[in-house]
Amino acid sequence: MTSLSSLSRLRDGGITGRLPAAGLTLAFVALAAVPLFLQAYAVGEWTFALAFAVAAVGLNILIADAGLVSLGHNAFVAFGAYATAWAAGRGMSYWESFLLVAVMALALGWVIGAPVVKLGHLNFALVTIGAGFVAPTLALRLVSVTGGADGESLPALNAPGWSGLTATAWLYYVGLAVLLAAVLLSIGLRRSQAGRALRAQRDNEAAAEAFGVQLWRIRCGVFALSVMLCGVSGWLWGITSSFVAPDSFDVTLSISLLAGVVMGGLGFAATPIVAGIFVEFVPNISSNISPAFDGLVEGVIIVVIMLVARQGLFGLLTAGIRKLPGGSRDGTARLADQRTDMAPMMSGTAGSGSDAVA
Amino acid sequence: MHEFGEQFVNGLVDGSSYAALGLSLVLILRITRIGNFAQGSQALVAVYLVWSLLRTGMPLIVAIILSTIASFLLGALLYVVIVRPVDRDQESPYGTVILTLGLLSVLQYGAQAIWGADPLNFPALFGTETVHLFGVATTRQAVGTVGVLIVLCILLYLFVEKSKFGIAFRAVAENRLAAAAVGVPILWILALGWGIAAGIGAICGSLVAPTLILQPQMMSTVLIYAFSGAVLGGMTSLAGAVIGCMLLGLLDDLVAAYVPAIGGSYSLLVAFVVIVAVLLVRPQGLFGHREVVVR
Repeated sequence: MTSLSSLSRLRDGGITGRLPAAGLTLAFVALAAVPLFLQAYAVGEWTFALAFAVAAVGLNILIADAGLVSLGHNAFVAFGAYATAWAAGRGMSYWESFLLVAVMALALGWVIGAPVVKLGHLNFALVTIGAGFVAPTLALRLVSVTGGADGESLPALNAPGWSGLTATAWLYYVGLAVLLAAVLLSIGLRRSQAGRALRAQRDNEAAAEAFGVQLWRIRCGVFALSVMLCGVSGWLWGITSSFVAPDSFDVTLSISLLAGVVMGGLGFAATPIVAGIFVEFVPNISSNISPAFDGLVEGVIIVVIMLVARQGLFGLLTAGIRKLPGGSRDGTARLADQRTDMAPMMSGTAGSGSDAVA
Repeated sequence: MHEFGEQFVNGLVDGSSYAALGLSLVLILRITRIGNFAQGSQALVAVYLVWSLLRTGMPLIVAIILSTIASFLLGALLYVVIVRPVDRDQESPYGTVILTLGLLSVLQYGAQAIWGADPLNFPALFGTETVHLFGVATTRQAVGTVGVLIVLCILLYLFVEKSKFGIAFRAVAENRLAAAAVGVPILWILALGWGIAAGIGAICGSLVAPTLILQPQMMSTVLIYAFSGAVLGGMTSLAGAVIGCMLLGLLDDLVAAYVPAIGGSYSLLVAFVVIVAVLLVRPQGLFGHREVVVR
């Protein structure tokens, strides 16, 4: 039906199905090599990129699979960072606070999502934008928890002796492991029955409901998952920055994340990596030119991608590869294009559980 | 009681500045089914345009009229060139949501790149003298803002409900395919709608600029309140949008004044809780129709 949904199906199998897996593996191997070549400060910047990438996984799932657009993700990253600072202030180790933050963010997502996902796509976007706007003010005002404008400091995460790594490198690898887990989670979700139900409700709400998809439950669940990933992103962000203050989390962060995800290509598993790098490094480069340039570039990227290449960079890449000699499977691909998500979903509910599109 | 009267009037004045933008949003929602998140930044650019025209020595009222006309043309162009191609391709609403969010960013930061981030002084069209109305002190600008809103409402009502254009408008809003089949020039009507919405936005921006101080973030809160008011009123009803925005303006000011624990910056949060609560009970909003719920 839509170009987005057809792409998510195409990537499931065949020649184009192997390449993303290989590309993703390569990307993670390349990321693993980063600390070997860079100074400590630069490694820290790359850890921020990993943190943003984790949040981008959450946004990617929410937009591409569930069809819900949120501009409140800055609020949820802030929540994660502040919760980590709060837990650290009470003597919790970072491993304990990781679990705490994940569970709390999941609960927060559920509490906010429960009423809001009922309101339709547009109102959902509106309410999440509201959350994004309120968050920095809220952080300023709740002085007892957030430290107000002064912010909160966090202790450093020391590398264990057996690793032989510096603290910066150790944190980077922790972040990489978190990102890998998040990406695998998103792939798993996409291939599961819940993932098919999500895409079904995105493409045709009434038909999905008729086939037994419980709209409220599945939307609420995916939103909570998305918020949880943002919370974990905030956890990583907080430890890396060792200082949390309201001005790091205004709504421009959400716009950056959105621009990054749209640019990489909605629905591709590797998109969050591109988005994370984008969110961390593009503002650094562009703010040297002019303070407004960053937002301008992001806006232009969103508009241009939506106009000319709806599937983003990875969409262009996939299309390019399919045009290569030997890579063309046009006939079958077209056929797969025209199928709706209902077929795999039906087989899923019938209990076969297999990936129907091969 | 006297203080309450003042807060009440303040609330209504704030509400009417939201309401003008709310009208634009609902107009676009009704005919194109698109939530235009860039509406506020379009208005922002229009206000900066007025500011630049003023520096050439032009009278304020002429500058506002010129900027409104320019906004009308730009709004129509924006729809035809950028929004329509995305809207046409994609049935699900989130494509246009992402697009208009991108436009928001382009226009707001574009304006910042051109005019800078420093707050600029913007003259009040109706003057800032204090006037007393029913024993309540307020400014001429405030009275003027409410007056302009009332005029806009009447004009828009006459246009949509009484004119021939209005019939085409409602036909397109009701059923685009059927309207096309009976010869309504769909593209022109839709572009006209976006143009009118942008023009109203320009007027709204020019009226709130003296109070809010002209700077790149000026319209963000106005947009959020206008959107929320429109949602509260039912998204598709022009009268509903005005009443919704008024209620929100009142709620905001009264909460800020009388519930000190919540006060100032939290009032947006209160507004959202109210909206979510209302929508859960009445998904179509206070004045919307059940059948045309925009999802």
